[in-house]
Amino acid sequence: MEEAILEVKELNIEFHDHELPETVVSDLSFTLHKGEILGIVGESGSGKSMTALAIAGLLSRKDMEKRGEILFRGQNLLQCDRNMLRSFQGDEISMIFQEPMTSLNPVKKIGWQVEESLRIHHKELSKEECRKKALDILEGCELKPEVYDMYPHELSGGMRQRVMIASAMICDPEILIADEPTTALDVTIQEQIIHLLLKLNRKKHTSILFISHDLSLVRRLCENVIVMQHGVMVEQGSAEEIFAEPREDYTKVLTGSIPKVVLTEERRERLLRSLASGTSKTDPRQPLVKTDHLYSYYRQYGKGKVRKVGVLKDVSFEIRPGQVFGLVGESGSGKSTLAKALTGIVKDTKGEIVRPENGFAMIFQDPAGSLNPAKKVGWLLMEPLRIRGIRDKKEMQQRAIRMLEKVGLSAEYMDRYPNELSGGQRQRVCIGIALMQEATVLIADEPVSALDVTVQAQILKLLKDLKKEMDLSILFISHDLRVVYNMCDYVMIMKKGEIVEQARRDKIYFTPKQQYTKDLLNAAGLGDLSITNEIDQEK
Amino acid sequence: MKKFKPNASLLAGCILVGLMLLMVLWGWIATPYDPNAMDADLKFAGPSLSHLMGCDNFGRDVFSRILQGVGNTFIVSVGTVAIGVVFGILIGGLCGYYGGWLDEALMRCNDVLFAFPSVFLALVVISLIGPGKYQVIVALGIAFIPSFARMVRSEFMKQRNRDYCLSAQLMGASSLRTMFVHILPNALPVILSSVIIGFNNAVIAEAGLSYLGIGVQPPEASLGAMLSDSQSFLYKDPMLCIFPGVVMALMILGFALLAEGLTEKKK
Amino acid sequence: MRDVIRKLASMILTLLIVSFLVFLAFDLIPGDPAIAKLGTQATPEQVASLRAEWGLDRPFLIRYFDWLFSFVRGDMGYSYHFDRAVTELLSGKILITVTLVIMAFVMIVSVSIPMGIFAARHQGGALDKSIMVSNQLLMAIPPFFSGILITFLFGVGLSFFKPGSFVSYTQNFGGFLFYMIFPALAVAIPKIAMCVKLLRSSILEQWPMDYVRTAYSRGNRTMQVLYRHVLRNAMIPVVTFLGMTLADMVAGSIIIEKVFNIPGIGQILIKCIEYRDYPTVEAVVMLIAFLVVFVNFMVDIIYRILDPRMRQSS
Repeated sequence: MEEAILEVKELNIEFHDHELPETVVSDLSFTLHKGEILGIVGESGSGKSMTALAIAGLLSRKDMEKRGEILFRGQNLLQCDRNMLRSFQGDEISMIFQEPMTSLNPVKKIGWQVEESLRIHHKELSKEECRKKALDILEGCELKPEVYDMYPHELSGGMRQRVMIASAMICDPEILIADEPTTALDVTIQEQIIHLLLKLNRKKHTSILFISHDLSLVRRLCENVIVMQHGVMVEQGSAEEIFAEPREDYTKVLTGSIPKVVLTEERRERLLRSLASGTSKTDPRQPLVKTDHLYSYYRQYGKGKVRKVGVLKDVSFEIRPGQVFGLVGESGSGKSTLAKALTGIVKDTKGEIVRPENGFAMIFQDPAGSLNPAKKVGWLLMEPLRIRGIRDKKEMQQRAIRMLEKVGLSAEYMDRYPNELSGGQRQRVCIGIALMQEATVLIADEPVSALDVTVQAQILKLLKDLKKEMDLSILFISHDLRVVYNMCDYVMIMKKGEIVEQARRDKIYFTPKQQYTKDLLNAAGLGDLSITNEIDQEK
Repeated sequence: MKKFKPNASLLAGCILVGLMLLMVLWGWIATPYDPNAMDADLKFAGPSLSHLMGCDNFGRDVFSRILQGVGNTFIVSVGTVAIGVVFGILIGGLCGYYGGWLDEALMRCNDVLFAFPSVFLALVVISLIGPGKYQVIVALGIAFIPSFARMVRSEFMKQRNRDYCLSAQLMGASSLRTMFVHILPNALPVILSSVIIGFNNAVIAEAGLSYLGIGVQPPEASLGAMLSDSQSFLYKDPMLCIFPGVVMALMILGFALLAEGLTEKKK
Repeated sequence: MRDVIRKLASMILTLLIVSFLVFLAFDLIPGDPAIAKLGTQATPEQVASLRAEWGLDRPFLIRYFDWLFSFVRGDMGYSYHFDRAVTELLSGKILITVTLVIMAFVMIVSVSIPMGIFAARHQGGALDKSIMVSNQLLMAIPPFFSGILITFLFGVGLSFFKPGSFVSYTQNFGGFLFYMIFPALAVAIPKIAMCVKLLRSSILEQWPMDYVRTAYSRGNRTMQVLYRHVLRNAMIPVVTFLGMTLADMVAGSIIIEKVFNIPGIGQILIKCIEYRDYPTVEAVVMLIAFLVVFVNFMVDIIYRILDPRMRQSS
């Protein structure tokens, strides 16, 4: 093993802004070695980001107490003075953040921002030298030189994160702290950023501290992993060990919460048979939802004229009764627009849409935004009944309470406001409201993307149970292929408003035909599951 | 709900506005003296127990005139804000909810009007319909519509695009139900604080117009006109200016603190 | 550049619409200026001949375009009340009003920006608190009352200037500027208070933003973060406010001119409203409208310089 470059010993962080001190990190010790990529994994509230900020010297609130040691170059970063700390920041220890959209100064040029660390720490360099170094590092981060003179708002999210990486790497730091650097990005972009980090790590031998909630990502990127929960280190070890044989209960729960994608022998047989026969049996029942060559536009106002911008192009698909239909795509793929076109919220469409008799109910990604913050849970649950014209208060109340119990909450939640609930509880309420509408088809638009993995697993289980119990038909929209595999029978992949591929689930996952599908599977770490090659060999 | 934290601004604002309402009521029920009764013996009399704030150049009781003036200011402010809010919510709500060409057209006009200071717009309207208390209400009311409409529109647009609105529509709620049952309660805090700021501005604007002599017409008292009259006697009796001026400043301060306190509480 | 030209075009269009509406409004209101001039005893023949002399008997649109074209050429019409050409009447007054507004504006910018930064830097400290409290008080004093207080303090009390005795710039330019300091102060004080408060909260709002954290992570000092990163972002709402203030002060000066007995365009406007001297009112309204639209145009340009996001979006 290489020399240790950073040692954290018994780090404690406490907040004192409330009456009782709140411990966010307690007795954390670990070592980061030269050239190592160390992952810190945990759910929200685990203290992983606080640890990262403490190492980067960015925790300086007055109402906070930090104890222990963070040793770097023989200095305890918690004790040394501001000037010493600053001489490390950006030069020896640099950091990139979760939100590339907001982490760059919106009114300064990219070049200026990338060069900033050089200007601060290497005053001997001339303007020309700075510029040359900046252009070099931009190139190293696979950005075009034109970016130098652009502003952040002119770049995409992935490009902005590259700029952040460039500006963090320009002084060749010993340590790069990456706090959820890919969480806000699309999966394929995420994959590129991961490759870039790996490339820089190999080339410059920079140690990387990688903070993430995404276990599968950490598994692919990091050599060693620390698992944290409620500010305490639960388990530490090599990535392979932790994921293959977790020792602690929490780690087991955490790894168990990742939806598994496995092809059983039986299903493999069935898949091969249906591929061989070339036909799949079709459902004799009428489809509930059907679109036929659907196009959709939105009108862009401004500059005096109205432009029609196409969002959906030639989309045709069918949802059968009892089916869970998975719709997968990255941002800008038109998946949410498709949902809105089906429900009739987006009206500017061309092409036939067959809608179910009792319409749609919908649950959204952000459970906080989809519950009216001014109303109580009970009121919200009864609103669908009121709209349907039911006036009997007692009956409404009883039905609302029954529904609460169905989604795993109790009657006491009737009088709570949405902001008094946790994310998982809110999503349960949203599901309850949707079911109260007694619609034929439930549309779930990224219903678990905003939730922690363990909560995610609970909500997915609830949806599955309800589906079985009530024989629901669901249009399940997600960017997460693992989640979709676990929920859906049939999968459709979209890109830029067009259908890339649609088929039964196993066909998509194990015999993908389109390159884009393969890219998505690769990005999710599912690329090596394909059995297309085996089939070819058998032939 | 969180524990109610005592908030100095809110408390002070409530007290000052409460005092103002008391004065308004007092002025409506009975002033200590007839605000227009002149008494040649009492010209420029200083403050005393019988005349709390003394008498003016005609020997009229200043305190009674201030009570009447506060009452007039209050009526004008309420009228002004009412016109502004009603038309503001109507125009802003429709534009924010429906969007499209209606929004484009109305907001273009609104932006042009919004660019002009409200006192200036009021002056133009008054030059058309003439001076007077009720004319001032109309003039200021019209002048206040653009800013209210703009505020309501942006709030409605913000709320309308949130998922809970879509969810309500999917349940089958009508546009009216979505607008008034779902959106309005969420927009109320913002509307409320701008109503209070509207009061603040209305008091300043009314006093300014009355000071110019085109607001409330004599012999009826108004704080602005009292200031303007007393200015000629600045050497002789400065208290004549101080009393109406301080009362006016306290009214403005009260509304400002109230608005400030409400925004603080929201955070 | 194309954006600037389009802005310019929309500015001219706005002025045209405003001019049409103003002319229409004053045409529609009841009251005949000829009768107003001659008195109610005048015979219909006398009225008719005066109307013909002033060109009031021609169709509306012709009168509008005639008025508009002569306005553009610098002929603003004829004041019925003062019996003089409006251009002549106003020419000397505009300078006075503009001087007042510019002086107040310079005071606002030079005092409130350093003070706002100071208050934000010492947020929560004793000085910050006292600045905030006095701000709240100063905001509550309308300019005409603070004008009277200033007159009382500096004029009556300290005898720095003689209340009510305006010094014309044609006679004594230095004396004119000195006299104007006091009204400018009265206009500026509440605006300074508002601007300090806005800049302070704007800076404090920027502080928890992600890009500030990024700036710290590169090893910037707090001062460097403030001046190199935060200030420009924090100034964006302040520029909007300053633009609106400038427009607001043009209207506010109408009142302050009365307090200090300054013969600017405000005084004329009030007199003309009283006497229903519509050509003069129209001219003053158009002048102020022009100033307001021009100020907004300038604010837009500054906005674009400060905030690159504004440059490309429509």
